[in-house]
Amino acid sequence: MKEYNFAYLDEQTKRMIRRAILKGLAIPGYQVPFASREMPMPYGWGTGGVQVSAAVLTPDDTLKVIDQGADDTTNAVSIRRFFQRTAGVAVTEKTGEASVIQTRHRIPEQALREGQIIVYQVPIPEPLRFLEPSEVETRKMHALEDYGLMHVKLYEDISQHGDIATAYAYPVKVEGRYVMDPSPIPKFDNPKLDMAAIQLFGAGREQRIYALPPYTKVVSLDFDDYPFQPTKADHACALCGSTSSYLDELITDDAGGRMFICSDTDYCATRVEDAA
Amino acid sequence: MDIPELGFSIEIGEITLTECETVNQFQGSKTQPPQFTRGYGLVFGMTERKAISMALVDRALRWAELGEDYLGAPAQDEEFVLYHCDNIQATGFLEHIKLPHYVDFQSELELIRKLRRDAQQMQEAAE
Repeated sequence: MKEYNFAYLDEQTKRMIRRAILKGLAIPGYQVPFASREMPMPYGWGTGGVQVSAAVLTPDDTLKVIDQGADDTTNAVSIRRFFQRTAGVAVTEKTGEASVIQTRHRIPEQALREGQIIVYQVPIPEPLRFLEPSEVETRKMHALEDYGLMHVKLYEDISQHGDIATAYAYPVKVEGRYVMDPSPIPKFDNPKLDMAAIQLFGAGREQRIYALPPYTKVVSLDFDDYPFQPTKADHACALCGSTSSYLDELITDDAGGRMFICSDTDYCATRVEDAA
Repeated sequence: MDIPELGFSIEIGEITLTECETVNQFQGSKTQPPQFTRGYGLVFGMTERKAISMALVDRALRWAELGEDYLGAPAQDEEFVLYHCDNIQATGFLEHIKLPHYVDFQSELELIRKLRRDAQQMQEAAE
């Protein structure tokens, strides 16, 4: 423990990141630039999320890390170990027991409560990037609340495919102002973005932080005649029987056999335990 | 470096730099008469070619203040130049593809199945 400052980053850096987080919380959905540091892990593996977690962790915190909903995936395991070594904080796999949750691409099934913080790893923070490659232009579009291009894209999806052809990283509008990328969570998770916990988003490679304070109004973009629909596989979990959780589809043999299981491992294991 | 307590400057180290000023032709614009213009480059180490190229890019980026036309050239676009000199880490995007994508892929799968189902129903209805 002596070898590292608490949670790896130096205090000046944490202060800089906290300022960006506070600005992000004050302007929900606005992407705040920050001086992202090199971290001892590859870009694209959660360097933004790790820096945000490092800046908010205190010695009394209990940390949970998930990737794709699971606590036992490579990325989750290595980030959890990283903070065990550099911050010495308690860790857990239980959603309810964690005070800080770092996640890659899922929101836990169990509703988060006040006092909890969820940190998202973000690959591409700009929801307009695939429509407009220039950062100068997209910043202008956000400033002028000029989101026509996004609505045209959604409309073209419907005219071409009969549906809005976005299944994850589905764009949302925050408090009627900023259009925001909720990170590549499946659109099934979008309705949970109106939550009691603090939500922080970190994009290390792209050097941006944004945030949603508790109970922020977050609306998935849609049209009156094509309302937003969160979707999941139309099955029950093969392990715990849940019909309301988000499912992963596993191929089990060469004959096309498949099973559906909860992507949230803690949720599934807890249900199996309770049933036993 | 100035140390306030000492009241004078002390040397903390030396670095080698290469500095370059280019003189560029300029035939004038609506607002400026014909004249020579300058570009400026400063780089670490002894790398003259790098300093010259920086000076040329610097000159190209000054099109607006000299009243030149924007030709759509990449070297006239500050964002393009900056992102190619001090770029975001493109390796990260490739690196992240090594991580699992069950969740977003599953979501895509549901969508593709739905779109195909709808398309098939429409086709059957037409027949």
